[in-house]
Amino acid sequence: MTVLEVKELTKIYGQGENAVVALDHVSFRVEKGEFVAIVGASGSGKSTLMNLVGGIDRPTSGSVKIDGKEIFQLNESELAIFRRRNIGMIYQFYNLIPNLTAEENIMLPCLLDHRKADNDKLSNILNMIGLSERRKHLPSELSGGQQQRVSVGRALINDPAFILADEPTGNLDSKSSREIIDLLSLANKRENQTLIMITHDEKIALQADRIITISDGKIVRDEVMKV
Amino acid sequence: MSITAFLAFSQLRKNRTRSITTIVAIILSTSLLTAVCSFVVSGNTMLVELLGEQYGEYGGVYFSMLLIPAIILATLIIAMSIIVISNVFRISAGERIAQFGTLKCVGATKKQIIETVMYESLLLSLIGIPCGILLGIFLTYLGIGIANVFLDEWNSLVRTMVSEITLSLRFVLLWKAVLATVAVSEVTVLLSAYLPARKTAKISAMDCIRRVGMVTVSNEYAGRGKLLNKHFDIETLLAFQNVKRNRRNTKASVTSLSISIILFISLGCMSGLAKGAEDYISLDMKQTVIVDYSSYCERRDNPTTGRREVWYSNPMDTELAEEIGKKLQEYDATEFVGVGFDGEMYYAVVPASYVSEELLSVLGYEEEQERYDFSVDMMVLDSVSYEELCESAGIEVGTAILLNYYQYNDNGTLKNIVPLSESIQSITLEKADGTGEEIKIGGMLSFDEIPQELVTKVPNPISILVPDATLRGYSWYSAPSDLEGYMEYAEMVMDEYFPEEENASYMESGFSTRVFQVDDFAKIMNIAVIIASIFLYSFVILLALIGITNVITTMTTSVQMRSREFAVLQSVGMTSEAIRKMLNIESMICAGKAILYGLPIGLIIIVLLNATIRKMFPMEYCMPWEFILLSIIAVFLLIWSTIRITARKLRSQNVIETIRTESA
Repeated sequence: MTVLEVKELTKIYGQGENAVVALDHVSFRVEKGEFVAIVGASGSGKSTLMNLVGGIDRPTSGSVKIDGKEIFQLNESELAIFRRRNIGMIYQFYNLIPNLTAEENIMLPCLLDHRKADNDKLSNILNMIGLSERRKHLPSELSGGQQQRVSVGRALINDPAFILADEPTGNLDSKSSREIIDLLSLANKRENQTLIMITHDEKIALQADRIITISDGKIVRDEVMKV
Repeated sequence: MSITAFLAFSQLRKNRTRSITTIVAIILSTSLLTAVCSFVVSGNTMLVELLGEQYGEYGGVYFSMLLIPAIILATLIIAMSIIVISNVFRISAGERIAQFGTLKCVGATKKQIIETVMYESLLLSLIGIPCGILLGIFLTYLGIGIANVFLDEWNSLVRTMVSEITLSLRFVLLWKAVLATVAVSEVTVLLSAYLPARKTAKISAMDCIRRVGMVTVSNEYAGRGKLLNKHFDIETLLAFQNVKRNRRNTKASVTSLSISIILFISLGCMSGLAKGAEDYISLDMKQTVIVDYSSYCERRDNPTTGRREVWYSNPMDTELAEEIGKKLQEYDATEFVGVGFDGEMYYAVVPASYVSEELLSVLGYEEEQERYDFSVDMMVLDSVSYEELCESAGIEVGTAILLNYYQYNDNGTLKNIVPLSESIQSITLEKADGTGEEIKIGGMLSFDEIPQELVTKVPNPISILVPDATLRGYSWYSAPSDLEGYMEYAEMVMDEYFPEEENASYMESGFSTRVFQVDDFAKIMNIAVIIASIFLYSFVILLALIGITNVITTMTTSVQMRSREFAVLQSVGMTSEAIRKMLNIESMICAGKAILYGLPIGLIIIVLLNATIRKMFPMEYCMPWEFILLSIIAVFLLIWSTIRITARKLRSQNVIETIRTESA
């Protein structure tokens, strides 16, 4: 089953002489349960791709279909609601809300939907990310690795179509990095969670089933690592 | 509690200083609105008690007199509140821009982003508005108490002057009015929050995360002229650039301070002019008490001649006036003089050859005529004073004396001219119906020779003193040693000659008599001025306070937001003295800007006020230097102290720590 279908996606920043083509007619598909790593040098366009696929930016042309739904045909509010239900985002700098506890941060997508998260689901996730003990702590009381685990939890809470992780280990030491990757792999293997991860760390990329390499806004290589 | 409400609540807790100053601003503006509203209600009650429902014949006038100032004041309050409060929310939203980015990425809608900001304002107004209403009610109560102290004195003065009028403000609490105030305040606060909230919500998630779009301290390079580069040191340069980058943040502060300056110096000018008016209406004479009689009169246009015609029901003749004067003098009353006066009954017909060109140009006659009709001030003196005057001026007793002066207000300056040529021998006086008599002029007095009590503030072109006449009114001036005793005695004498029914209203008996002190007019005016000043000054000061809460929020936030920048500057070796110098210069520039905008507008208002008032009354040009100076000093002091206090907080922080945390 195809979870994500990217077609002829193009993003041009600026106009006229200043125009910069960040993405140049990129097309690919991601199937349910896949673990895809997108790699590329800085400035290659991978963050642009991530923002477009995550629906927080709009393309110059092209389309992104998630679970068969053309996301750029939605208006802004619809897209926001779609995002909180169908995409799990993880950032390099955690992006947690500083005045919410770990637990509340995880539940944020549900809270925005004005519904309480399933308690079992929440304790499952807390167990999985190993923060059951620290569920009531504020982000400032957690280490970087722990904060990132909270944002993994937040990404997982709604059983999204896929998780989109932008350099999730970019700001972490090697031990915490490994923990995060293990956590994401676990979700991928155990829950058959689709995972798209942007990274420039080859060792981490090698954990993925498939590596897409981007350079100058184009896909230059798309190789399946494991079958 | 929904997530948006919770986020709003924690944002408020995080920025306690700002939350408190905002609450103070809301309290102040609500209390001012409450006070204005309650005063309208109390004033309305007073007028209804005085004049009856609908305020009688001139109801519309009184109503607009009550409502127009109230609307102006309320508009000022609301405008100031929106400037100040929306700025707070703009800053608050700007600070959380990255947070909004995160919220958007995890799927918060535009509406939810707006909601968090709106919840913030709702929570603040939940505390601010009830407190404001209470404070406002208290202020009104206090204000009415103070006003009544002065009104009591005013009433007793007015009673002797005109009639039985008792002005007294009663504290009236109308729930409808309170609810209206609550509604207006709430709408003001919500609107103030909604404007910046909508703007923030519009910024795309991408830009939020990148912290662009609404970043409160912009990072763009602010260009500077060569002149600056060449002549100033690095601190001044940085200060200039910081102010430029900070323009949007300081705009609200500069605006609110400018408004305060404008109001303050206009008010200074107004009170100066009021003082001038007070001086103008106060009579400058040796006598201290005036006993005064005036007949009821009716006016109409004469059907045949078209002239204005008057009819007096109970005019006073010289004989009776003499008699009353004698009676009054039986009490120890020095400097006694009696003056009869009528300014409406007669017209003087003067051949063109006797009329001075100055008079014609002042009165605005453009076409040349053979003879001119002028209104006449007809006067009599008591016999003793009249004979004395004739003797000293060398004029034959029993003839008419021309008081050859005319004074008028030439846009603020009192000008004196000689209206008629000295060669005039007689004058024809006509009544409105055209009947007339020729009066021989036995002598002439120039302005300097005329006794003070015969000079009127706004004279007719021709003033004639005659030996005897029947006139509308008569005044007896004197300087008794026992003031109160004499006044009581005079009341008795007047009652005896002109018995009035108990509780008769003004002029109901066809005349009115008064016994009052010479400076009573000035006193009445003075009390009115004091009451108005107290209210207006309190209003302006409270309004300025709202502005000041804004200055505090803006300045502290902008300095705090730049804490990383200061840390970087310190880390590359900028001393704290240099930073302090930079901040000082910045504060000077901000204060300078507020003054630069406020002062010229204030000065324009001063010029307009002067022009308007001086058109009506001759008085000195009023330039409230002390108010201008005071407002300049206050503005500098305020901005300087706010920046310094905030900067002191910054100094205690660890440089490296700041750089690290802020960059994450």
